[in-house]
Order: sequence, then C-alpha cells, then structure tokens
Amino acid sequence: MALLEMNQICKAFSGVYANDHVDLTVEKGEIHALLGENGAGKTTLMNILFGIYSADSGQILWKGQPVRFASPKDAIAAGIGMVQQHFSLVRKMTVLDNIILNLRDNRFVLDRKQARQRVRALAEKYGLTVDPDAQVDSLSVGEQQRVEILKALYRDVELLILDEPTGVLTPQETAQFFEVLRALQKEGYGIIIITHRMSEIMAISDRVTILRDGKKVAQLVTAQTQPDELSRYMIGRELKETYDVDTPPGTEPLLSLEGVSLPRKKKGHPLHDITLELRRGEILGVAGVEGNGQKELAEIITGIQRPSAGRVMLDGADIQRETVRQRYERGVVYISDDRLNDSLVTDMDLTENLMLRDYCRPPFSHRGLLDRKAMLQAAKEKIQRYQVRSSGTSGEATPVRLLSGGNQQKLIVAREISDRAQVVVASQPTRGLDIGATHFVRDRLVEQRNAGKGVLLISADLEEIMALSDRIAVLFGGRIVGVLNRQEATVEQIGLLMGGVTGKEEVG
Amino acid sequence: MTAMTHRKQTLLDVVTICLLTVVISALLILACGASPVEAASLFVKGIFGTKASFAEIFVKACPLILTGLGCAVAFRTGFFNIGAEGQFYVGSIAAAMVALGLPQVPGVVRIILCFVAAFVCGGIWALIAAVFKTRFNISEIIVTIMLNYIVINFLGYAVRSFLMDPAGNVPQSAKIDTAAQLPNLITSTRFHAGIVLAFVLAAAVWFLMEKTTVGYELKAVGLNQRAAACNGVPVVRSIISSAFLSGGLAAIAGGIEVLAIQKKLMEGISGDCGYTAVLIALVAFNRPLGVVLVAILYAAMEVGASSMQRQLGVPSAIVSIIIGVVVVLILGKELLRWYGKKNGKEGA
Amino acid sequence: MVQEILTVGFLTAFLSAAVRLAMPLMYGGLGEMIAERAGILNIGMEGVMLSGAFFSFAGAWYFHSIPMGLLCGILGGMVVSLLHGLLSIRLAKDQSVSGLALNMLMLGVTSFLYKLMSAGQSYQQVETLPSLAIPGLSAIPVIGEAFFNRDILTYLLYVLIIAAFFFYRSTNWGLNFIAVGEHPRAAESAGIPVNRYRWIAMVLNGALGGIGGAYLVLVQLGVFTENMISGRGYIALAAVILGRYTSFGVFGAALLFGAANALQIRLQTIGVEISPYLLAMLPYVITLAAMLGAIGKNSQPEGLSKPYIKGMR
Repeated sequence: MALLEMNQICKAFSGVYANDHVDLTVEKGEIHALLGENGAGKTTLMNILFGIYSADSGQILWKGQPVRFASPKDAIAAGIGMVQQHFSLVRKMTVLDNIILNLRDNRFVLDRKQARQRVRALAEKYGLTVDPDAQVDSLSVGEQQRVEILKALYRDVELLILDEPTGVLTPQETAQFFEVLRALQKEGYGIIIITHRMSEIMAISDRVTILRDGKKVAQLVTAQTQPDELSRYMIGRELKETYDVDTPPGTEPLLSLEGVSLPRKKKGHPLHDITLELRRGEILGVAGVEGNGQKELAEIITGIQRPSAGRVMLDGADIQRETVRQRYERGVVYISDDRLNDSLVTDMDLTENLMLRDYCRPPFSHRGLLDRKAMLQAAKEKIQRYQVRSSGTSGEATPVRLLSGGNQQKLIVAREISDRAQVVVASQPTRGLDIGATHFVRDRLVEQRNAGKGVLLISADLEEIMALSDRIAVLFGGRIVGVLNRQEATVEQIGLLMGGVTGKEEVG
Repeated sequence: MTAMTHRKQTLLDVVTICLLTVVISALLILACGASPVEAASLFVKGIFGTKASFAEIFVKACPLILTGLGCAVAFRTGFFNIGAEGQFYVGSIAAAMVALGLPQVPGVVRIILCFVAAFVCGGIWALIAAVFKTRFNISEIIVTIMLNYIVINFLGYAVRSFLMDPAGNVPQSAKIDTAAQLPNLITSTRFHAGIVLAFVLAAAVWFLMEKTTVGYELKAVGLNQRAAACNGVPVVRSIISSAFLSGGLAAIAGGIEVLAIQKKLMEGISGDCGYTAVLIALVAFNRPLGVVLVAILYAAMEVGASSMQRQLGVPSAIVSIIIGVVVVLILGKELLRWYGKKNGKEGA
Repeated sequence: MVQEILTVGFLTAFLSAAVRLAMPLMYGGLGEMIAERAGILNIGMEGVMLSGAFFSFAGAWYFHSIPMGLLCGILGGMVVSLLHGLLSIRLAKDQSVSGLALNMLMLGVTSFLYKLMSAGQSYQQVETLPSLAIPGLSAIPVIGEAFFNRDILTYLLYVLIIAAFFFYRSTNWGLNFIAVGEHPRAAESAGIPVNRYRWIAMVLNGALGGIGGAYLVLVQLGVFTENMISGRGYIALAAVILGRYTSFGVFGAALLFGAANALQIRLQTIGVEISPYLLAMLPYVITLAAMLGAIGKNSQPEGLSKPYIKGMR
C-alpha cells in the first residue's frame, strides 16, 4: 500500500485548469521529485494535498484511507508536513519556540526542558545541527531550513513536502541537505521534493513525476532516465511562432555588464559575477526559472538597485553611479514583472501614469509648472495609438486600478517605449495577458529591435524566449550559465541549462 | 467595479454619512433635554446673528486651515505627520522671539521676519521626524508626538525665563508692540490680516499640489512609493520637502495666533488645533480646497455650538463628537453598506 | 542643593510621587504593550484612558461604590478598544487614523456626558481608594513608603507586570501572542487564529487602559475634569517603545516618566532654581534617543499596524 495516492486531481481557477486529472503516488521511504515549468501546477497540487486549496474533483488516499484536509492543521495532524519556499518562522523567537509553537499537547506552562531534549535528539539523528536556543534571525538560510524540517519532524509527520528547497542554499549547504534527506529516507519517511534542478533530481530522487500545463505527462524511475529526457517531457511542445525580424541582428555593443555581483540579502536573490552584452538591434532573451536573480538583474540595469561589484556601461559610458532618472534620460526603460507595485500608481489616472517618466521636462512642464493640456494631449494620442481601453466614460481620467491587466500593461508599454528608448528591459512582459495583448506587447518589442535598439527580454516562458530572441542567456542561481544563438539553441539544451546542468556542475 | 458604479457608491456613502451625522447630532441635543429644532435655529443665529459672530468663524478657521493644510500636504506624501500641534508651538515661539527681540526693526519688515522665522523653524522641527523616517526607518507617528511634548514643555520654560514679561508675574511674554501686530481688518470684529494670509497660502498650496511638478511628485510618492522610486521620482527629496512645508504651514498658524490674536506668547495657545487638523485633513481627503471648506465648516459648528451652549445648555463638546463620528464613519463605511452585502461577499 | 535632595525625607516623598504619577502610565502602557505585541497599534490609548476615567467616575458616583466605578471604567475603556478593533481588525483600516479619530471622539463624548451629568450641580467628588500598607515591606526606608504603602490597584499592577512577564516567556498562549504580532502568516500556519487573538488583545488593551484612566479618578483625584488624561495616553505609547515591549521595561519607562514629573514638583517645593519644564522634556528626549539607539536591533513587532487578511501573501 502506498503512503500517499492522489488520483485524478482537478482544480480550476476561474475556468483555467491548474491541475487536470493529475496522479501522484509516493511510497514509504521514497524521495519523489515533482518537476515542471513555472505554472505547470506543482504548487497547486501540493497546496491541495496540504489543505490550503480544495480539489474540484479527484481523490486523495492517505495510507489507503480517503482523506480531504480542510486546513494545513488537519494535514499536519494526519502526518503531512510542508516546508514552503518562503519560510514561516518567527524571526524574533528562538529555534525551540518556533518548533513547539502552538503544539496540541503543549501544556499551559511550556515544558521547554523536555522539548529541548527531543529537538536535540531529532537533530542529532538526522544531522540537522542547529542550536535550539538560538534566535532565528541570527541563523543562516540553510539553518532556518533545518528548523523548518525539525518543526515538521517534531510534529511526527510521515510525509514531507519540500517546495524548491535548494533554491536558497549554497552548494555546500545543498550537499549537507541531501545527507539529511537520505537519513530521513532510511527511516522510512516519504519525501516530495519540488524542484527544477535536473542535477539534483538525478542525484537524490527515486522517481520523478513531470507536470506540464496542469497535466501529468510522465512518471519515471530516476535510475532509468536521463536529464535530456526529463527536459523534453518538461518543455515537450513544438514551438509554433516565430516573429518576423526584418534585419539580421546588430553587432555593435550597446549595454554591457562586467562582473556584476550582488550579495545575498534578507529579501531577494544574489548575483554572481554577471558579464553580459546587449547589442543594438537585437533581442537578448534571459531564460531561467524565476527567483534565480532575474529581478535583481533588471533592477541593476535600470538603477533601482546598486550592485556590490562590477560595472554597467551604456554606449561606452559608465552609468554605474547614475540614478534611475539619469539612466532613463539615456534611454534605459523598464517594463517590470510587477506592474502594480513597480510600474503604476494605481490610484492615479491614465494621464498621470503616462507622465510618470516625463512630467519633469518640456513639453509637459516648464520651470516646474505642469502643462496639463500638453499632458492630456500626449496621453490621448498614446492611448489611441496603443489601444488602451478604459472601462467607463471617464477615459484618460480613469484611475488605473480600474483597468484590466492587459490594458495596464499596454499603458506601461506606451509610456516606456518612446523615441528616447535605447535599452528596453522587459521582465515577464506578457504574463497574465490574454492572447491579443500578448501579441501586441511582443510586436512592440520586435519593433524596437528592428529600429536598432536593444531589448533585454527576461522571461520564464521558454516559448516566448525562443520565439523572440536573437541570443539567449540562461540565468541559474544568480549566474549566467550559458549564452546561445537562437539558431543553435535547442529547447533541450536550454531546459538543461535552466535546470543547472552545464556539464560541469555536480551535486551530492 | 466600473467607474460609474464606483462613483455612485461614493455618493451614496457620503449621503449616508451626512444623514447619520445629522441624526446623531439631533439625538445628542435631545439627550440634553433641548429641542433639536430650537437648537438648530440658535445654531444658525449664532453663526449669522451678527457681523462679529460671522467673522468669528474665520477667526476660528484660520489656524485650522493652516494646520490642516500642513497635515494634508504631509499625508499626501505618505508622511503621517501628527505633530502639527508641536509645529504650531514652534512657530509661535519663533514669531514671538523675533517680534519682541527686534524692536528697532520697522513693523512690516518685522512681521515678515516673524513669519519667515516661524516657517523655517516649524519646517525644521518636522524635518527631524522626516530624517528619522527616511534615514532610520523610524515611524514618524511616535516621533512627531514626542516632538510635540518637547516643544510644549520648552514653551513652558520659555515663558518663565527668557521670554517672560519682565514687568509681570504671570508665565507669559511681554505684549508685542502694535507695530508688529497683524492689523484688524474689519472693525468691531476680530477679523485680522492673518486670515487673508491663510487663504492666500491655501491657494498657494493648492497651486503647488495641482499645478506643479513638485505636487505631482508628492502625490506619486504618497500613493505608491515603490513605483515612484522605480520610475525615477525623487522619493527622499519629496518626503523631506513635504515634511518641511507641512511643519512650516502649521508654524505660520502659530505665528498668526501670536501676532494677531493673543499679541503675546503664552501656554496652551494652540487650543489643540494641531490634533483637530489631522482629522480635518482626513475628512477633506487631503485636498487643499477641501481642507479650507472642512475647516470653515468645523469653525462654524464651533461658533454655532457655543451659542447653543450659552442659550440651551447643550455642551459645545458636541463638535468634537461630530468630527470624531464623521471620521469613524468614513473608516467604517463598509458597515453602512447594508444593501450590498449579498453580492459584496462573493468574488473574494 | 545636593544636600537637600539627598535627605531621606525628600527621596521618600519624591519616589512616592513618582510611583503615584507613573501608575496610570503603567496601566496604559501595559495595555498598549499587549495590543502592540499582537500587532495592533492603538494610538487611541488616550481615548481609552479618558473613557475609563469618565465612566469610572460616573459609576462610582451613581452607585456610590468604588468597585462599581472600577467596573464601569474597565467597560468604558473596552468599548473604545473594541471600536478600534472593529475598524482595524475587522475592516483592516489604517490603525493610526482610527486611533486618532477615537481620541477626538472620546474627548467630545466624555466632556459632553460630564456636562450633562453635572448640570446644575457644582463640584462633585467621589470617594477614593485607601492605602493599605503591606506589613514589613512598607517599613523599608525610602522604598517601602513609595512601593508598599499604596492602594490595591497598585498591588494589582505589580501582579500583572509579573504575570505578563511569565505569560510571554513561559506559556503556550504567550508564545502564540508573540507569533501573531511578529509573523501572522506563520502563526496562522501553526493553527493559531490570528484575528481572534488580536480581538483578545484589544479586550485586554481596553480593560487595562480603562483602569489606567480610572486610577486617576478613583485613587488620585476623586473627580473628573474635561480632558483630564491630557496626553498620558500618548506617553503610554512612548513608555512601550522605551520599555522595549516588555512588561518590566514598560514598568521602568513609566516610572522614569513619573519620576521626571515628580522631580519637577519636588524641586519646586524646595525652591531649586532649575526649570521643571526643561526636566519635563527629558523623558521625551530619552525616548527619541532610545529609538535611535535601537536601530538595527529593533524590538518592534514586525507585524505591527499591518492588518492581517487571511490567505493574503
């Protein structure tokens, strides 16, 4: 009898299937990898198991019994633990207090002495070394992860779900972490590990289930497969569209990064020694699974963040010390992946949002005085040209929060792409858009390329990268692990690079 | 929600809040054993009864307009300055020191110097909190409250030591000579030149907020600081300058109080208007012209209520209750939307 | 001057006044600390205390009973805190705005009701709580008089301070309250109903703030006057910050505020030539300095004044 059996699980969000008849079986003492691109439905499936979402249909058998968890509390009580990608630890409490937080058999007055002994015993048994009396905010990320695992083990779970557990770890920490997993496996724990790193799947897992577009496409025994097979299953489709590029890509360098690094911080991801060149008249795609430093790369180019080392050059000039506005004046424009927080002031209207870059210069202002007429006229023209549709009758005076996502994105594109633009940094520019808006945005990017400007297209959508890019750089763990020409690149190759298989990396 | 139904919703909220406020006021008056109708007529008479009483509205509104503008400017930029009270005092101390300390300077010049000193000192006082916020990420709320108490105690010290009237025994400054007083503009009322200044400044703030790039920056920073930074809007400069302006405006109110009303410096001259100003700015949704309107309404209520108190024994504290209730109702407006409950719950 | 200060008589009187003046701040501060540790900033503490003061006076007056007065004060404080809870927990509104509005509202409400109550009658006074000397302890020189020859509410506070310390340090619920204030999402995932805890914190906030206000009436003055809290609620907020969000810290900070206040009174009576007003500025300057000193090792709960909406990331 399997420890866990999920049969024909379906879950739709507003009509779109996130899970479409998915099966998953995990045995006792098995490490089972769950593989898939962003949005393939891995996290949804695990959230259903853990009681955060409820499935629309399908069955979960836990040790042979049908179950349905209403909340994480129920799932934990039944013996399922989950370590989320973002840890839920109280930073100002000790390790021990985090572990025993609100346990069911806690007495009114806590018995920390006994709990400490148990934590020590557990930690020793599985090599989860961490001081139970240390304050969590004094711990490294790797140690915090150990606390999360201890927290689950302390609650007597039999199945442990780990969501992208190695994304935040150094190679040494990862190796250590795998030791822990093997020790747990030996004790008969079932482990589900969500990951996109091929090498890690090959090193640690017994079996792999691969999801694509919400469907299970394969379940393989790791020992009988190869990374390229996994990659094929994960990406697995013919890439349909290519965009018309009138001209061969340029060769003249426009923007270059030299040895750019960013240390690991409380929030965000580190970058290591990034060297990259963007040429005139090309689209340089940056592929990679999200959270490998994409956001940081974009913000360093646009001037929102400052790197700790390295140089950023534009047209031969060092723009390292320049502000966001100075860089914009040189033509660095930005389409952020987080429109609502980074790009728009949603309580201001269309006109005001369109002017967020240019309000401070003629013709929109003269000596500090705004020219509302000029602003309105320019806004009207842009809204017309970029077909931004606002609901209601107030037109360009509509607050931007009332616009649909597609129209918000068009508004951003309309603002950022102007004659001034030289370098377009576009991060996940079509995410969440419908087909029409997607085409629209992609057409604009290609237009920029054909006009001899440089486009840095950061996307987790491989199809988009393959369709638009002249060259493709792959970002993995804060490093550029490869730069390929589109003509030479294959989906398998990129998939492997995105999973960290560079031919030299070896883990565990 | 589309733009149309949204606007309708807002209108409905406003109407509901107004009605509820009227009902609550009537109930409070009934609770005092008075007739609401009679009270209302006395209220109106109290306001429009005489030239002096009507002018009194503007006298009372003047400090509220200026401190309210100060709060509104700061709130717009996301700087929650509740130190208008303290900035008011800083302004009054600065103005008194200049007015009394430079007796040889001719009147008009001295008045201008008074206001410049008040504005700069009040601005710097608010700037302390802005620096705490932008450099050290310390909440401006607590800092401005602390700064209020520091300056209130400093005032207590000042009027007992270096600013104390050498001829008197009471903790207050000497009287400011007539040359440096703000002149009265309408005889047999207290309508003074400071009121005109308040209106002029209100217009200037409106112009700044609506018509200039600085105002646009303040608004963008207040609504979404992150997006402002990502688009190259100078965030720190905006917060700093809005704090300075905010403190300066409140301080001008303090200066006017000294030069036009009291004609000397003494304790408690703010009448807590710095705290009332916070609520006035909130009710006015931080719009400069809205602040002027709400401040005048509030002052009118005060004037009317004091006549109600004299004649009917209805406590004038009713005005504080009303403004408190209005803000609570604005915050809790969702609870008033009884009609939208069924379809409001869905969709989440 | 130093000799005059260092007499036993002066020190006894000074310390005694310090404790007496600190008591409302200690109650208010403790209530505020409980709320803030659960993630709710209640700037309306001023209003809570004012409500406590008025209703304790009204209760004691109508029922001719101090316990009834105290009960009314507690309830009066709670109502204000629960209103703040309604706006800040249930409706997830801006906590600062809500608190300020409640302060203004309660200033109006208490003045209004007091005028109604006292209509036609002049000065009214209620009985105050007597002091009960604790045998033995109260005989200790200087300290004994100040700390152990007091009213029952002071002794209750000592118990509460110690109880709060152990509650947060050693009990399951205490840990849960900390988690709710620091990291509500983590708390929820550990099965702690975040908003229910916050409501409980607001009940305690109101009760303690109410007692703080009532203390002024039922122990110190025996009368109610308009706006009698006159900023003590705001000082209680400062005491929480200065006291680093711990119960003993709040106790110490409130005592410091009380001492600064007492010193100015005592120095005046012995005719010392230093302005009491400059002394009175000191606690606020110290608080600002303490905030600057705490940069980096911030003790403020991370979830403070952020509404928690279930399911939001």
